[in-house]
Amino acid sequence: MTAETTAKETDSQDFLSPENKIYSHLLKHQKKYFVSLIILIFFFSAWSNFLVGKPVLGGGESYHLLNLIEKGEYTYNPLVLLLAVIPQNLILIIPLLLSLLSLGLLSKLCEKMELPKNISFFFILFLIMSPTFIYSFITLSSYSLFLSLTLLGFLLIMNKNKTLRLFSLIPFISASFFDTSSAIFLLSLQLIYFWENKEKKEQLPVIVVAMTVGVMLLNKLFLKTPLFNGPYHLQRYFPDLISDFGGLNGIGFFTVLVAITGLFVTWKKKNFYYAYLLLLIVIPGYLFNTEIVFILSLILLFFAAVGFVKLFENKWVLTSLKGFTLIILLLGMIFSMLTFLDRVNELSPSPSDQKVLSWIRENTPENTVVLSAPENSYYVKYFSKRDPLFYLNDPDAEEKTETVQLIFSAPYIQDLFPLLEKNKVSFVYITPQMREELPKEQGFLFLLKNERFKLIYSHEGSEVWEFKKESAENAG
Amino acid sequence: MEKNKKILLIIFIITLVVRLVLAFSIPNLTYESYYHLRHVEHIKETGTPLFQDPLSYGGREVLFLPFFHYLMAFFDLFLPTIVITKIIPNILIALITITSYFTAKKITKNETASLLSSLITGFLPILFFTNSFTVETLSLPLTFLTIYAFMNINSKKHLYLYVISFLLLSLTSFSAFLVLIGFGIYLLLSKIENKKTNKAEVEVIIFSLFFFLWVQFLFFKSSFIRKGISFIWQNIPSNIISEYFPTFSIPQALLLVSIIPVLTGAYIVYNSLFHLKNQKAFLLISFVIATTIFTWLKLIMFKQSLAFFGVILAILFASFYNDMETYFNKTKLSGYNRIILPVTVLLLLLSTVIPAISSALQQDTPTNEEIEAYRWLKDHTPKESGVLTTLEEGHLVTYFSQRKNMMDNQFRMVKDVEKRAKDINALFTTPFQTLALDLLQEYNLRYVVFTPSAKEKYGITKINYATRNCFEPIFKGESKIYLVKCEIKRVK
Repeated sequence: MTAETTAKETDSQDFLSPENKIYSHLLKHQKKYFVSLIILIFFFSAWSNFLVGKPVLGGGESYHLLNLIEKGEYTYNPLVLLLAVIPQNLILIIPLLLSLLSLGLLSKLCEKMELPKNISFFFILFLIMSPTFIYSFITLSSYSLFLSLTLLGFLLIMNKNKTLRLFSLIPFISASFFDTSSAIFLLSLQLIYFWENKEKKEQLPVIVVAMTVGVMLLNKLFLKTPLFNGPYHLQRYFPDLISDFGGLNGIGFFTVLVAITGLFVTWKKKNFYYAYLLLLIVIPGYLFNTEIVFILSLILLFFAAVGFVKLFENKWVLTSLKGFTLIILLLGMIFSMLTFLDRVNELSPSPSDQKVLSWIRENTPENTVVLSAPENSYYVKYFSKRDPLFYLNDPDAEEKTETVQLIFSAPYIQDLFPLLEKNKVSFVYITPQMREELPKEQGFLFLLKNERFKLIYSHEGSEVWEFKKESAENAG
Repeated sequence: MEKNKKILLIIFIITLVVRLVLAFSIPNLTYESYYHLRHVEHIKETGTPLFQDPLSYGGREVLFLPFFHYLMAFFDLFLPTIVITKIIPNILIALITITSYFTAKKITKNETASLLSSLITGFLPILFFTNSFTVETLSLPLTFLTIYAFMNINSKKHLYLYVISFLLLSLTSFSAFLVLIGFGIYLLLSKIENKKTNKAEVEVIIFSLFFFLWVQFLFFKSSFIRKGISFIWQNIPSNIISEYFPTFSIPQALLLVSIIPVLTGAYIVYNSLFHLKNQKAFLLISFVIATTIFTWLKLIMFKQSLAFFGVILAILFASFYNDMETYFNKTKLSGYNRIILPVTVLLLLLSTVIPAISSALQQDTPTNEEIEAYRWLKDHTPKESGVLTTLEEGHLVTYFSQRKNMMDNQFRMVKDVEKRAKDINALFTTPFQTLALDLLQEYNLRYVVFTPSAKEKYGITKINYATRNCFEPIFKGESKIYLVKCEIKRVK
């Protein structure tokens, strides 16, 4: 029997058609299922964090923003302003509210844009399952608020009511305040939208674009807003995009593959030109700063949904393989999601970070500098209230990173001590991860054996070392 | 049975008999085989793979695809070990003669040419590692079975064959990825040449890609998270990388793959790439390109890539023979047609059989006396002891002595592999006792085994620092075992 014959036999096996009872049921009740899935994921990650006693908020950016609020250093970042005005206890639920808001708005926007039901269903499903989305439950992220504001702006501008459309200016202007790259991205979206709807003869587009450009220039020229928000962690291109390679968020490897399929199947299709254009804008941005993985993930998830639908809407010659492939692909995506959920309680800061850094706050003099791995700087500041050597988002971060590398790789005390003294380091905070990554037989960990270093506190592999000042006789 | 099938069966039997004679004339297995044998025995005893190895590198995580070990553990339930280690691997490799025949027949439709392909495959010198009990003995036949099934994917029987062989290959070896890359190149070349691709082939490739990745993530999830994409490289220490990826040498390649398949294969590849005629040959050429890329990226070892090349070139020889026969028939030389076959067979036998037997006889295996020393360790030393041996002999320590080794050739996931490789060399070559004692202490090594193989490897006759007061000889003979009696105390 040939494969062609088999195809005829099983033409009815169309997984993504209304005839498929399971799929049509899912499509009909998608909102209920999506909400259930979100609740399930949220409680799973919250529960696993609770079990290990991990702080509710995670990620460098969360603690950077909290540090700013504590110091009263209010920037024009709308998220900082929002956090400054709401009660401290409510801050913990802001990430969850923002994620839910952006998801709801996105779902509404898909309806408004009349995106095919199949595509919008899988787009939302993949988004909920993506590590980017799960991570946003526990992180205060500027990009999360940016996305919500942008989506809200477009929902309002698509409205038939003129007054509501005018109100779109508020979210659009707010969204332009984050950083220059976000403002450029927003401007691109607006230009695409207005170009597509150019037949509508009205003044609003001109006002919206002019306001966005104006705010962007104001930010850049007068408020010195950075080109990119962050970075708040050490950047690695592959892992930051593909969570399965150890990244903080991003999307799963299978989703990337399906997104590539999506790119291939939509290649040269007119409707998708704009999506490519957005990719062309976001990918170079990602190469500069991987913090914008949030936006890149969204675009890739859209292509993944398109790829997935095209892959399984098409008639296959080998229908039995079609079913297998569908199951493997879904299992692969679920597997990526579960792997990430399994890791959520390992993401920084850990319970021992909190305990040891709090110990520093209570047992060391104020105005001292604590040396640790660069990515720990925000936690060091927040929990110990002591200054780290530098922050990853400092303007001179590159130069300071080199200094830290010199410190951690110094082969002799003659090289190390002047560097520590010059940077006024009094304490060193070593995490288990640093112990794993730094060489033991040479360099910094080896030099800790010197008498000028004293282990003053340790808990579950996290250690605090004091770097003693040179005594007068030795100095003499 | 038709005449050609009988001849094919004879080729298979002759290949197998020659392989078995050589396998049994050499008493032991290659060094690496004992690593796999240990895992097979562990699965037989416990039913689960030994992913947390307490002996290798003093205790570490080992990740591997376990189908080969499960299959052999299954046979081990009712067959003696010698059958498992010597007969089954040789049967599996000899089976490639049959796959080669059918693949060549698919390409050329020429029975004689296909039988010649089968004959070349049977006696490829690179495949004549008769005492090797390794994953390659299963992955290589599975790879070619997968390729053959793919060529016939429009038949339902072959579709099932493809799915089963690819699933097993994905659970056996990373070479399934090589097959996938080969498919990718095939699709790309088809696109470039504006050739219509079979829809079923594309569907099978999509399925295979997702299945393969899923299996890899299932087994190596933690490694991908910890090491990222760098996990696919094998973490081979830089000071020995040249042993695994030697600089390409044409004479060596000619010797191991045999001169006739190499020259004719090169002709066919050239001819097919520039005057494409046969899409099936075109598929095989894609695998040649994929293997070249993998070798260049150091993703597969040199010997594995040569084995892969060898079989493909043997299959492509059928195309050459077919063209040659057709050409002779068209010219005034058609009268000589009758002598083409015997001359070809004679040339093939001369150029393959002798190098093949020579390859088999030169296999690197431990001697009985060396193995005796390792067995002695098991009965006369405490269970938790660490033993210093050469890197190659590391598996003998874990298998025969059941003691911890300092290092073996399974480098993946070992964090300080560079340092260990440097230190193991220092331990055999340094004249300084303090340095040696310091290192022995660092790795918790209480025994030093010094075999003739170690002597040959390091070009030494004795361990220079092994004085009687600190290193007591406890096993004497060609191989020596020393007990480390001294230790270095650090003054605070």
